[in-house]
Amino acid sequence: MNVNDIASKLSDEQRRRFREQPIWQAGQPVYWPDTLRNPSCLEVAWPCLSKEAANALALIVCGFGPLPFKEEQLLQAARPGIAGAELRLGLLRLTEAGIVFAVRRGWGEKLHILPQDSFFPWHGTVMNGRGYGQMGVEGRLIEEVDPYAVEAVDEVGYIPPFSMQIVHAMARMADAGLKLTVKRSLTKRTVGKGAEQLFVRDESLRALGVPSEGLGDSEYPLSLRLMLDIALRHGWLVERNGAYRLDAEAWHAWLTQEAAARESELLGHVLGTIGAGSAAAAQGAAVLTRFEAGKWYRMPDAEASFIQSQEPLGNPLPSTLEAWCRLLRQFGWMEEARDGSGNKTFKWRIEARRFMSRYQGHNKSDGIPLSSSPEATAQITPDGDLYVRENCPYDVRWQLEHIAERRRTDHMTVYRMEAKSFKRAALSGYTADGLANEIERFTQEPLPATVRSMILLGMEAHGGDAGNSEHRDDIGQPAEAVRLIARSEAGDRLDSHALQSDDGAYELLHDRISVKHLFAGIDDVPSMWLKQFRAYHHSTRRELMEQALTWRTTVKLNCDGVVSVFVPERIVEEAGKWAVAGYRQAEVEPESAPLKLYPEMWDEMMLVLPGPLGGSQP
Amino acid sequence: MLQRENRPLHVQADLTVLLDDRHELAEAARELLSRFADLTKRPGHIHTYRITPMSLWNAASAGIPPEDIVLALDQYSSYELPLQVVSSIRKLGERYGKLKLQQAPDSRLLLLGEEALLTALCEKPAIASTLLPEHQDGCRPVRPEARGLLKQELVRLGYPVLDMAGYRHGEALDVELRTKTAGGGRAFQLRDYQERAVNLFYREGQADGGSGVLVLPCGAGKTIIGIAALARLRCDTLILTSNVTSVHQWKSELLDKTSLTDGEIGTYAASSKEVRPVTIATYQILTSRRQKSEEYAHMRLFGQRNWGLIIYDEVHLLPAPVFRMTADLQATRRLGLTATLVREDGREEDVFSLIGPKRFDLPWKTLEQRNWIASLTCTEIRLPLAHDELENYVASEEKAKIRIAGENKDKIDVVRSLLQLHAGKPILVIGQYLTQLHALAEALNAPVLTGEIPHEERATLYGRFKSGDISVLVVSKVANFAVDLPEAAVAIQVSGSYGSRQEEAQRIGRILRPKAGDNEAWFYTVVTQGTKETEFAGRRQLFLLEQGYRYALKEWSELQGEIQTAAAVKREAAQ
Repeated sequence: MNVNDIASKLSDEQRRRFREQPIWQAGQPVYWPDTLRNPSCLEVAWPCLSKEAANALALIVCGFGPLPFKEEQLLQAARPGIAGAELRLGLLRLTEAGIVFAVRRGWGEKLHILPQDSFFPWHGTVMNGRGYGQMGVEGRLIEEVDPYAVEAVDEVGYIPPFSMQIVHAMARMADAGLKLTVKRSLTKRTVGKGAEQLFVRDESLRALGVPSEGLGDSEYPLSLRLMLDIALRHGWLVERNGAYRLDAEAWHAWLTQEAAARESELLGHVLGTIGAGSAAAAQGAAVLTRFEAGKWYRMPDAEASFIQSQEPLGNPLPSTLEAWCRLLRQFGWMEEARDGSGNKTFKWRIEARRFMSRYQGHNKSDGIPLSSSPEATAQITPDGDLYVRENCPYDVRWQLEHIAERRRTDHMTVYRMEAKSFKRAALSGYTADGLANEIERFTQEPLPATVRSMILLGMEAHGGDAGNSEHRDDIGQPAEAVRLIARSEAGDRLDSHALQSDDGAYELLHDRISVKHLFAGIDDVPSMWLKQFRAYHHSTRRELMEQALTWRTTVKLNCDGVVSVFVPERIVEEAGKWAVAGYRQAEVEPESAPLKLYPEMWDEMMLVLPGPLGGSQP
Repeated sequence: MLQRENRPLHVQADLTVLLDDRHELAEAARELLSRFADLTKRPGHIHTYRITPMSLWNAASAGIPPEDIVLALDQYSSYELPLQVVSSIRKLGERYGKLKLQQAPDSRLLLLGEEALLTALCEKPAIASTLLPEHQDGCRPVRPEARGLLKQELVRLGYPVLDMAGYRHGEALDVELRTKTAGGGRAFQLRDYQERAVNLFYREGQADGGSGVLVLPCGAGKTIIGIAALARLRCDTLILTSNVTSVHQWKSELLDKTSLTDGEIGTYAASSKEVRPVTIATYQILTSRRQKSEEYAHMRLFGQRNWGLIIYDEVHLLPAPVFRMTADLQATRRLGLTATLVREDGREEDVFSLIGPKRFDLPWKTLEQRNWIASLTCTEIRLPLAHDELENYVASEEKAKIRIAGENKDKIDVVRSLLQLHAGKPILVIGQYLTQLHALAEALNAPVLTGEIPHEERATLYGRFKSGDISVLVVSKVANFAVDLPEAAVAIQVSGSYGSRQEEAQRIGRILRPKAGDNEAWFYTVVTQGTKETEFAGRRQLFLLEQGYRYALKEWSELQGEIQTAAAVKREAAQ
């Protein structure tokens, strides 16, 4: 569930209450719920969180990410020495602040979630707030690697950015036909044509927990399902009369979107989609996005960063960094290499954090802005090769996919008009003159005579075929066909080819719980247990310990003159005697070894409750 | 993605480099690029270069290390260099010099290199078979007769070998270049680029000098360079070329430009089998045999004298059997001459390993800019098929259609008009079909030269054309290769072999020699529009388009009036 999904299920009063929470005041003029996705607002909100809330949030962000969790799971996930009561109080505070939400699915148990699109911003805030990720291997500062010191790990050549892969795949699929079979799937041929334009491998997706099964789309490779999911969510494809159709308006809007924003949105979608299915994947993605674009970093340093991010957890999540690097490379967003010592290295080709900054209203372009005219981006030579730069507007590229054969995909893509492409152009309704004019429009130069002659000759053979397109049923109006599908009345959008389970079935819970509610029977407990640091009889000591265990809270103890806070975990009975096993409080002693204390090992004791119910402190 | 300011180079991940010729830094970038990349084509503004193992090793042999290449590319690249490119340049470039062939004091041939590398390479059966059994760390003795084969196999594995084992000098030959030609007493000296080419080949004082390939366009005087190399080395020389006419031309040039006498130059082609201190043979004779099961009897020519130098003219046409023979001749200096290193059979590696690295490369356009070859204007003239041939064309099969289009009898009018336009200039009319050529010859009242004519008569006709006795010569494809007709200023192609780019280039090469006066040349190709011929014409033109030449396309109906007017103006001016 995203922030907006949640906010839409709230009443005005509930929204107002969240908005008025003290932690959001410093973020104005941005208001809740927008603050939840705004890294700047979260940075100023973080210090305002209580200690318990901060600890709980760190544990949630680093251990669960955007995945739902039960309260008990949260308590179990914490590393030893953190009292469950603190976490429960923290969770309560987070729920009051509108950071974490209680949900239920069907008749299931109560769960908690961090809104999916607030995960990455919170992760950055927590990492910065806790100082995680500053240090690399062996406690050294993380440094970039000299670009001249890295070497390629394999012979794999240029991988276009995912947005370009989508354009290529969509073009080939449109050419092959978008009719659906009786199973409401695209034909094998179309699937093959689309998939061969994608560099993303299914095994790389599976390595990050993307499931193979889902929604009856088992005929599709995972990569294609991902792409179709995006296409349907964005409305580029709509289902109509047993086929998919390209929605001209939506598709054109995407093609003409600013390049860096377009790419970062895709990245955000991919990270969010995959991260929503696996906490480890979410963590790996969040750690990686903290590294700057255009610089090489060593994998051991990134792994050290990942390990630091797992500090709140008793059982760290497995690292997914290598799997992510492999996948992101296939999306054309990352490069991999090795340094002189054999360490794996990686480099972002795009600004990974940009998809978060859109919520801050940033429109910074990370590369050369798209030229308003395509002059600088396409050139044709007298021998008929069309050279297209990487920053060529996508609407031009889209047209080229239909009127020319792509001979080479690289930083400078090379197209050439051949018999097949002349046929396609003719089917799309181009005349020889029209085609020549179109290319002149792209190149902003008169066509060389040899090219004009080539076009004339090539189109002569196909000029009469414009009326016989077998694609016509698939792609709509004649003569417009793939170029611009006229937008008719809105077609039904098919259920998306979602890679993860549909989270639309969660019910938002609105119960408000008081702090006292966390400590059942508190009114029945002798007040001195909470207020007086004193010695008790052994049997009473056990009662206090058992009460602490029930409340999952800490106990202050005086052991041989040393006062410390102890987190009990369980009572242990041995040879007719009892003891209590637990840890010193992690806040004071982070690396505390497990302890087993017999009642005669301490003198004074008292229960310590977190937050406003807590008594005197050591 | 991350991009930098606009610069002239686009370096692709597959080691192709695209140069935008219009950029203000293009010239500077080109200057650097040409040292380590091969220009593969330059149509329009986008010039394509390719960095290959061969080009990197050629650069290394010229003293350019991989780091300098990376820096040069980075300096002019409009975006960050692809990682694969940097890695490949380093990996391949750094291999140069890792392996050497040297001769030990006891005359054994040794392969030297780091032991780890030698061990890895020598595990390959193809390498192991070239070695002698005993070895030491960093050193492997090589069977002398396997010197060429070893180099070939190592290059195939991606490891060039510095051949410093030296050469035998061969039989000494007293020869020097003349300062005045024997034929006309004209002053003769090498052009600056010819001198440079010879120096780069000879590499005086360097153990790896004396073998390599020189790449120069048609008309640049490759024959002169070959002769100069011979005169520098002063040893018995075997010259291999592609056809009999070329054999005679080599002999003619040798007599004209050197102190050699007729008795010192032998021709080994057709009916002639003279083996003399300088012998000129054709590839064809060397690879001829009555039956496939027989050996190549004429290959013994390689062993008939103590050759100190073998010159491979048009080395891009070197047939496979001659490669094999060359593998056994590694102790003899070898010079390859060509206008292009690109081979249809992709055996560029064998040229590198068995003939030698590229020592010199000069693009066509550079020579034109410096007036060493004529400035060329190319025009394709299109005309409709003769009316009475239409029906026949439509009814015919594909192959026949091509011939009908090629032999379009209305082409005669076009040729006639062009002859008027260029009246007074030496003109070649070139075609594929003998019937057509004879018809043209008769219509134009010009002699025709085809394969039917004996060599002696051909030589006579060439001589008359050169002297100006005849100004128009109608020729078949016998004139395609290695025929020296320096005065020809206009070539009119009326038909050609399908889409052969090589043929187009060779034909144009006939008119590229520098001319007195305005140093201009014209190439016309006359094609029948609306037929297969136009399609083939497009293909044929690719090579020249790739070299940077442009074809103007003209409809005969439009051009006719222009030519007639221009011709009339010329006539008036002449009167």
